[in-house]
Amino acid sequence: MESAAKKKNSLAMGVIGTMIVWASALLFSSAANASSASHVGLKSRAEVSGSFTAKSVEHLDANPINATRYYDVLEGVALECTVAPSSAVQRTNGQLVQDIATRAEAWGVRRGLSTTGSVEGTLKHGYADRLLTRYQEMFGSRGLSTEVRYANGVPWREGVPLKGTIRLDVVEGPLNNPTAIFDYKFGNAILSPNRINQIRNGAGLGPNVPVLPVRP
Amino acid sequence: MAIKIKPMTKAELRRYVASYELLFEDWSKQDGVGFFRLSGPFAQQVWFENLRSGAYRPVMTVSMLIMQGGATLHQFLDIKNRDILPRDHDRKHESVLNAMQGEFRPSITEPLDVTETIQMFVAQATERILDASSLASLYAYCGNLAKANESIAIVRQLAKSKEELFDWEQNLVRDTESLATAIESGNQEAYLAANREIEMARFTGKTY
Repeated sequence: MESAAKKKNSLAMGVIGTMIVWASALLFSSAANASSASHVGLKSRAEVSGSFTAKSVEHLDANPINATRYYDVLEGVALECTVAPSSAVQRTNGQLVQDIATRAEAWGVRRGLSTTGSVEGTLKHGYADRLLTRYQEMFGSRGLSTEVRYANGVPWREGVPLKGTIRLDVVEGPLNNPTAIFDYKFGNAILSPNRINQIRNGAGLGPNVPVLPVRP
Repeated sequence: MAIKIKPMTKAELRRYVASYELLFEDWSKQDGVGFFRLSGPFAQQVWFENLRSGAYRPVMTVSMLIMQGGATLHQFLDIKNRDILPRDHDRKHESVLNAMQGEFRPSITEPLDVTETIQMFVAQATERILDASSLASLYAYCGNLAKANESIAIVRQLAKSKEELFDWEQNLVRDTESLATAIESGNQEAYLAANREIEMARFTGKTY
C-alpha cells in the first residue's frame, strides 16, 4: 500500500518535472526559429547590445539537451538537433523577445483573436509581458523589464500626469540607463520614425541605444 | 485552462495595496495605490502599478523636491517578486513584503537618510543633463557650492555638445541657469525652498 503511494507520488513528481522541462523546451526550442534567416535583421540589431546580454545568458545552461529532446513533441515540427543545444545557450535577448512575440501571436490565433486591431494588440502585449516575466522567473533574470512607462527622461512615478508619457514594451538594462528598447508590433502596426523619436525623447535615450521593432 | 489577460480595475488594485499598509504605517497614502514620505530634498515613494498583463507591480523611487522633474533610484523587485498576478497574491504576499524590506534602497523600514540617499544618487548618476542638473541642486542644497558650480558647468557643456535637446532637457538647462543665478546672488536656499513648495504640492495635493 505504502509502496503504491510512493510510486504514485514519484509518478506525480515525474509528471510535474516533465511539465517544467517542457515549459523550458517551449522557449529554448524556439532559438531555432529565432536564428532562422527570417530574423537575421533583428538578430544583428540585437547584437548591438550584446555586451549586456552575453553576461546574462551564462547561467542558462538549464536543459538545452532536454530542449532538443522535446522540441518536436511541443511544436509538432521536425527535430532540429543541429541548432537547438548551442543556440539555446547563445540566444540573445533580441532573439528571446522575438520568440515571445511569436508565441503571443500564436496565443492570439488560438484564442480566435483578430490578427489586427488595437484591443487584440493590447491583449497580446499583456500575454507577451506575462510570458517574458515567467520565463525570467524560471531561468533567471535577463535584465529585461516589461511595460515600463517614462516621462521626461525618467521612469514614470505615481502622481505625475500620464499625459505625454510613453509606455515601453521591453526595456533592457538599468531603468535609468537602458541598453536597448524592444517594441512589439502585432498586426499591421509599424514603428515609425516619429514613434522612435517619441520613445527616445520620453525615455531620454542616447543615440546609441537601439529601439527595435519586434514582429511575430 | 485558457489564459485570460485582463488588467485589474483601480478598485481591485486598491484592495491588494491595502494588504501592504502595515509596512507603511508612518507613511502617507497616495491615491490608495501607493505610499510616500518626505525628507529634506527627497520624497520616497512606493506604489503599485496596474499592468496590462493583469498583474500588479511594486515600485520604489526617490523624487527630488528641490527641482522639477528629478527622480532617481527607480527600482523594481527581483524577478521572482516583480509582477504579482491576483491568483498568486495570497501565496506571494509574505515573500513580496520581505522583498520590499530587503531590496528597496534606501530602506523603507529605516528613516530616510538624506546623506545616504545623495551618495546612492551620486553613485548611479550618468553623464546626462538630468543627472548633472539634479546633482547641482543637491550640492547647492547641502551648501557645497563649489561642487554645485562644477555640476552646473557639466550641464552647460552637455547642452552645448548635444545637437538637439529634448523639450524637457531645455527646461532643465533653463532651471539650472536659474540656480546658477541664485547661487551667484547668494539666494540659493530661497530658490530651492520655493521649488520644494511647488513639488511638495504634487504629493500633499493627492493625499487623503
